[in-house]
Amino acid sequence: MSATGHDHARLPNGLRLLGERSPARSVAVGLMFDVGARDERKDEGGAAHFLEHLAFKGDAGRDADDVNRAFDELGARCNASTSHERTFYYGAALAERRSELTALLLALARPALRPEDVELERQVILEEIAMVDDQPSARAFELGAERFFAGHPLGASVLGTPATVSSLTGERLLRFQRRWYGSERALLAVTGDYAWDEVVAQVEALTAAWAPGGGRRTYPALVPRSGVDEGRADGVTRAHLTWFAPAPSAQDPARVAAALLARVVGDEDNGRLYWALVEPGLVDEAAAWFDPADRSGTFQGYAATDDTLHDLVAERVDATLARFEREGPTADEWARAQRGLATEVMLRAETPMGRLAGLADAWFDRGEVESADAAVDRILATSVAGGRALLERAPIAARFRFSWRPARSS
Amino acid sequence: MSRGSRLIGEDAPLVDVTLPHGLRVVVDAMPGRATLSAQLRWPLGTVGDPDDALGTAVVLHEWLQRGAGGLDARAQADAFDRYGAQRGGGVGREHASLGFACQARDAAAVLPLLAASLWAPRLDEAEFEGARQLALQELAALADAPAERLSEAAVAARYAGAHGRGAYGRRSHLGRLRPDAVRRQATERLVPDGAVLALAGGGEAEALVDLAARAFGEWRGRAVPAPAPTVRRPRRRHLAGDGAQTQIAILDAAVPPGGRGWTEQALAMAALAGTSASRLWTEVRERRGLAYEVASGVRTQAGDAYRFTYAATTPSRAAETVDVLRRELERWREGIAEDELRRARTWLRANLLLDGEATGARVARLASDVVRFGRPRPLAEVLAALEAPTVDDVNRFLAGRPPLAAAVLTMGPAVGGGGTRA
Repeated sequence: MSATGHDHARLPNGLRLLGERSPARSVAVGLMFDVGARDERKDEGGAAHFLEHLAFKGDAGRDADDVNRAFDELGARCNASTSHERTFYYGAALAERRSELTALLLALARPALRPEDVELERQVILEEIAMVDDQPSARAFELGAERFFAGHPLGASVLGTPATVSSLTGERLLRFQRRWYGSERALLAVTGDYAWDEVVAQVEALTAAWAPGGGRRTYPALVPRSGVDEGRADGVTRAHLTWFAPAPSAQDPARVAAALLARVVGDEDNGRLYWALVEPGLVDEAAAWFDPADRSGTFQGYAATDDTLHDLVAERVDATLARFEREGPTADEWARAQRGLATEVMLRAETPMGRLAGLADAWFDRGEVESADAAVDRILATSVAGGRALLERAPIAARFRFSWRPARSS
Repeated sequence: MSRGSRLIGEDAPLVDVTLPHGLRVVVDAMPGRATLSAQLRWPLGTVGDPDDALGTAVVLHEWLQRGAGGLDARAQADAFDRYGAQRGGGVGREHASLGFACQARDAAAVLPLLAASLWAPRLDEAEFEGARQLALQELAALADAPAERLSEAAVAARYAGAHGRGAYGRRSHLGRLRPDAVRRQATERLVPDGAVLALAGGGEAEALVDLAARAFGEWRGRAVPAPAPTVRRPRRRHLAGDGAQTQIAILDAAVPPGGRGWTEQALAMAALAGTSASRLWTEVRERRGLAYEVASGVRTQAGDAYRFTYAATTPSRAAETVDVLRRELERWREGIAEDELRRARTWLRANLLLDGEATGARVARLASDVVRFGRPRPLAEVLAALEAPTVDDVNRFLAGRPPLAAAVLTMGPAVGGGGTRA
């Protein structure tokens, strides 16, 4: 078997396996479910994230201490994340521990949901929500997205609200889990140094009892809000500006052009917003990016400033984006964005762990296996004409802008 | 399958060369790698700021990145980007850093761009005001970043004098900084003496050293010695705030890098707060659900070291959280068990090896080693040191630690219950 290349398989229960071989010292394993906050009903807000927390509390045969000790014994670096679209359990370890790491990650997917664990972890999540409340930059995005997506599931908070998190009983979490976390929505990805036959045999044996199934995601039409809005609160000291506009989806071939357009305008060190806002010292940071999603997608941006400068900064954001929309990128700007994005891909590819999420996303979104080299080639082959054409159909200027600001002094 | 043989050590021996003008160049060559990372650290920090011009280092660090040699600010940024180089850097209390990551084949074009910022910064008058305003914005941004604000308060609680200063400068001083004064500071503080350049990634070591020697060849100057730190007597302090959470920090003394017991401390700290089953994680989060985030680590500054233990929780549970943290810090001195040590060792070893796969992590460790230990430590040496202590060694070290005399800092709404002790 060659030291580099890809492997894939589909088990009888529908679970998919994907591998990317490389001559690394380590191996990274990720168990991903194509389930996230967008799949929750309104009264289930935060359920996917709650289940992700509970995974680390152990399955029928292990409690939280056992799980933590097992990760330690492996020397594994493990974590998990939940987004609007996916739940992701992952870890990296030295290559010879691949089998134990895989077994442990698979066990996480079937948590016991013991009532005492549910109650304790609820407290931890309420603390996490309080932490975000104290981070106006993060809170600004939650509030901005909720308004922009106007009832669309991509606008819900991944963490849920204190009210929804407080109302999620173990029973309801179990129902959510049974509805969504079947093997047909699951992918096990392995990157680095592994023996594929061993991976397939192990995963097949350990998931034989998994129910196939898995809910069906719905795709309601996005009718985004437009215009400007603001919110104010005690405890917020600066003005935090966020903005949103519809963009290509994760399936759209124009997604690479979208990422490059966003980089030309929003690169933190040399994008157009940098020169309009950061270089003169009007903000402490300004950035814009492309956020691809399953059959949807958005351009987003952020800037933070003294509240007294809010209106000036807002005008400059709007003017910079509008001008970019009119002019489009120059050939030079485009070439620099291509090189920068290509370097990002190459740096992530230094480690098996760095490859894992991108590999899995490409598979979920497009059923495609894309190596780092292929991703770089695709970036370098995307023409500036493609970028200009995309601007015609997906204007990058803010459709909706939301500012999170200090309370007015009385 | 035996993979052990290629798990230990660098791909090639580390190269450590001091150039005639004082810049130390440390290279971890990884032949065949497509990428390369670079990090330069030199003694520009807020401890060296004039007493009436706090924030000079921050403004200078920003200003020197706005054009160098024949390139103005925009041309310099474009030049980095033409090679797709990702830039990074920052200013701390004792050192500033600048670095990049790029494709290895572009190193000969990108390294001179970085070097020019140090030996030939333009410091154009027109760029000064933007750099100063940006420093003011960054200082103001602290108000909406409670964890960072607490961390700043912790440094002020630990040190008197220059070492206790904020890393962002002082508003009134930043407001009256003038370009000519900062330029004068530049001649004294942008110097190769005491600086280290770490390189890791694709290329041959000898060629990379030659490249660094050419790129930095014109750099000149002697460093001004930094003042020694003065440690304050620990005390309890509450800072008012109106957040949803109370931020908690506990500070106490630790062994500095290279000091007696350093490795035992690293292993025991991993058992306290590093590994997944570590004591703080287990007692604060897993058993009591008191906090989403809890952490403890050793921080070093100018040869001094202290332990910074952190958690954030809602105000009604702050007193209990402080009590649990204090109890665990006390219990730590009673020793750790054999299995805790085994897991700590495995965790530290795995971290070193996993980090070793990324060029950025390699340069960060090399530069940090030179600053903290006075030399780059080969990976095999660090790994071997971790294997040496027995559980008796670690527990003897712990038993010899002084009783907890800690500064307890809280920030946020008033701490409920009043159950905490000073």
